[in-house]
Amino acid sequence: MIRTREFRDTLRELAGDIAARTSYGSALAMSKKSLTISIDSKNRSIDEKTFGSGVVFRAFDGSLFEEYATNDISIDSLKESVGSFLSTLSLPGSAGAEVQLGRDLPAIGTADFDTPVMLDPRDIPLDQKVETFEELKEVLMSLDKSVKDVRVSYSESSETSTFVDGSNDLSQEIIRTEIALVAYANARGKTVYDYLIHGGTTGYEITSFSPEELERLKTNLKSLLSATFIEPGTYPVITSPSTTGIIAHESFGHGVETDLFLKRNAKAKFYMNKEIASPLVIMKDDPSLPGGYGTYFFDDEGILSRPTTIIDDGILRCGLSDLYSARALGVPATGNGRRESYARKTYARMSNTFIEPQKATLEELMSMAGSGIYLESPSGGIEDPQGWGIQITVKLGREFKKGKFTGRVFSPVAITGYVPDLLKSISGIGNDFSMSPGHCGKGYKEMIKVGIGGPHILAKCRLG
Amino acid sequence: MWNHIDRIAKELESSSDISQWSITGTHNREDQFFSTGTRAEEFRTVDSRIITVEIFHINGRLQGISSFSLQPHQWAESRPHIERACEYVKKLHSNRLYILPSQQRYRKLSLCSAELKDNSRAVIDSLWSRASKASSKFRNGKLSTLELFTRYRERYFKNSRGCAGFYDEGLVFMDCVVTATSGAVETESHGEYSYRSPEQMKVEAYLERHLQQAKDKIHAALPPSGPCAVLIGRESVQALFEPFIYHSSAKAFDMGISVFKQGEQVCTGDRSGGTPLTIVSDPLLEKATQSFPFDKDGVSAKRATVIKNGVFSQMWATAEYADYLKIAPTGEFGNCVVDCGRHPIRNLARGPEKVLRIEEFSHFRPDPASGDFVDEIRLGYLINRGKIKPVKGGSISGNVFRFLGDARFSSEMYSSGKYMGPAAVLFPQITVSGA
Repeated sequence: MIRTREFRDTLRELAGDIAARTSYGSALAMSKKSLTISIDSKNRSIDEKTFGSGVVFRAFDGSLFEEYATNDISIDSLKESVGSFLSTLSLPGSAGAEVQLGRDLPAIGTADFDTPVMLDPRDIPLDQKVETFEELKEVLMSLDKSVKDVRVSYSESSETSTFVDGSNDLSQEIIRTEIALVAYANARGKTVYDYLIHGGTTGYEITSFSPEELERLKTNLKSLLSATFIEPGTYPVITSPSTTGIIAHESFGHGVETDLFLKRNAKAKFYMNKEIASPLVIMKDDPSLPGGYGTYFFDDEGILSRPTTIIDDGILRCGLSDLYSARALGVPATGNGRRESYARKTYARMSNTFIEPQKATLEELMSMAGSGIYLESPSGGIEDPQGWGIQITVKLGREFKKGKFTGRVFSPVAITGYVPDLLKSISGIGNDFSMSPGHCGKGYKEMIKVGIGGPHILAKCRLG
Repeated sequence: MWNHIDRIAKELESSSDISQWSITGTHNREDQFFSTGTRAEEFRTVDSRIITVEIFHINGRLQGISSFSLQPHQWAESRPHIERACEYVKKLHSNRLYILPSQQRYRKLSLCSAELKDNSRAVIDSLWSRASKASSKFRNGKLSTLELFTRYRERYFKNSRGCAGFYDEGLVFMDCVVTATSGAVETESHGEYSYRSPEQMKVEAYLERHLQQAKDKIHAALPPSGPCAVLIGRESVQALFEPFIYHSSAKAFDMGISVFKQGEQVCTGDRSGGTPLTIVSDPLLEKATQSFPFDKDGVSAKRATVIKNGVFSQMWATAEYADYLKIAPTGEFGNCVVDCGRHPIRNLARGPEKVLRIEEFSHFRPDPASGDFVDEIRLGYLINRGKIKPVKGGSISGNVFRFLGDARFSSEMYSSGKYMGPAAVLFPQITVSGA
């Protein structure tokens, strides 16, 4: 494990050297150590990885960024790298700077943060982990005779990062634990799969699964094997909490990333303080959410995390910003500047994005709808921040009538439509709430860990 | 890097707990450039080196497997990592045994242009200059964002059975967003392109195409709902074949989930008028991005015809699954090469009646296991008796195993990244969910 805190003096010195040449200099050291255990019906493996560990040095002259990133992090190598970086730097300096990056930022000074966990995964003996996951594998294999193979994928990681610039010297350790159960079923010439996943900035306690969850996996596999395509049309729908989370993420998560405002790739810029959703909707992004999969203490630009209310009572209120776009647009820096790793650029990104729960029970939502489709097991989503088109794909849609499931199932099902139409159609919001782990790209790359969630919601959607 | 790999190899050899091992070394150098409009926003240089070690502990007919990775500052002190991996493999000695590939000859492939290796920043400057120049001529539109990456990568491999190899490769990548404006309406078109060498990157043509697509979106409406002939083109075509590649793998057979049988048709639906499907894994194409002289296990690259004239021909198999199933390894799947058909695109687009030609999806990706797809249309054209109307929104749904047997492939070839095959595929009837 590379302890990024151990060479913060060096980082401070080198960031200072860069700042002396330009209007702004910073250093970010990221270290990740993960232990993964993978068990399927025939094989098991344990792997230890340190991918994604490295240092990135940043220079900025008010208009242009230059960065040098390396994973060769001995102190001598870092000094040599920065020397070489400075010798090739083409930035003209701070004269005529368009944007003052570091100005007016709250000076936090030196601070260290650590993830509180109930059961630190590193304290659990390896034998115990393997035994537990072997048992889970056996449970999965015995779910149904159509199950041909299964996989238990467990991962525990410790990510440390240290950020240094002229004002701040911050360090954080984030513990993240994740487990996925995947089952493959084959019958009548068709192969399907479904999964259960738990994950968050939490401890080993998340590795247990309830009998209800396992029963749901079994039911879903059977449903997938017999499912048909849905008749295209507009339906009342009730979305599961994870499907609700994807709607939040894709609609005014991506739609309000403010780096896109600068590029005029996001229509939301022109809809601030306007009604874009049902008055029932309160949508937030919160990197400080305890236990969230996308939780952190400060972002990759040294801004402390805090919740942002994106939509309040249906009104679009605030975007999610990285430092540069916040400065250039004259809006608050919300602490959403994130990188996939030291090897990639910072963009404005989401953390944990969700819709706030309200008062209705699931039964009440079904009663309000009368008939419709219950959408669950989301498999992906994508949004067009410029055109406000949205696509959410789920593995399963279950028909319900008069408040009861009819047994008819459809797969796969896609929600498509215009984002404000979808959000304005929300007529009921549940009183439950849960978050799920997810991975998010910018375009089709730059993958980062995020949390998505919310309650059940009742809306009207075009399905295909 | 060889010095470090050889030294780690000696340490692995000296451990009585290790029965077999493999070491992979990778050195990546990337230059990255980002612009907002025609204003340069950021330059980045990334240098990373990593050595990954996989160790095996054989116990009779079973074995344990574990791996770890080392960054440069850890290379001189690999011993503690090896000892910890040895602890892990002893806990996991119930895996099926497979033997690593033995020494073999690797073909020489030219996978990197000299300019990417020696002066990648100049490549970026040149591509950026071309993009700026091309976009300066745009009317009613502009370049919104541009990202250009160049990568030079060295790969080293060695295992305990005498395999040893090295190759280097280059990659140039472009991500662009072009917007078009008409009054208060602004629309965008996004594209990503990866190639081995800079001369393959047709910057001007791609930007022009995305400008036109963005302009067409301004006037596009929802397509009508119902069954329709659908013509899928360019980047999306490749995704149609992914479920066939998935079910052709030795891994899918070993898991018991492949729906294919040797010598039988792979398409389950109507096959009356379709182009017979032939898919080849070809890792030896020098201009394609999924080419390699050897794969991650050290298996020498070779072509493999997995589906021939619609019939399942052979599995593609990594060393591990080939050993389990007692077949010859083909190595990892290389570039996807698909035989073209005999229909010019203009004939396919004419169709029997109206044809929906889809240029851009939100994210077209059929489920690899079931073959089902349901995807949003970002831009298409409804062609009806010579009249062409742009459409957007709504979705199409279907199943590639059921529908591809009756699909007609274009005679024109499209080549991009790791795909070489028909530029367009016509499905006689697909359900459209629209207005």
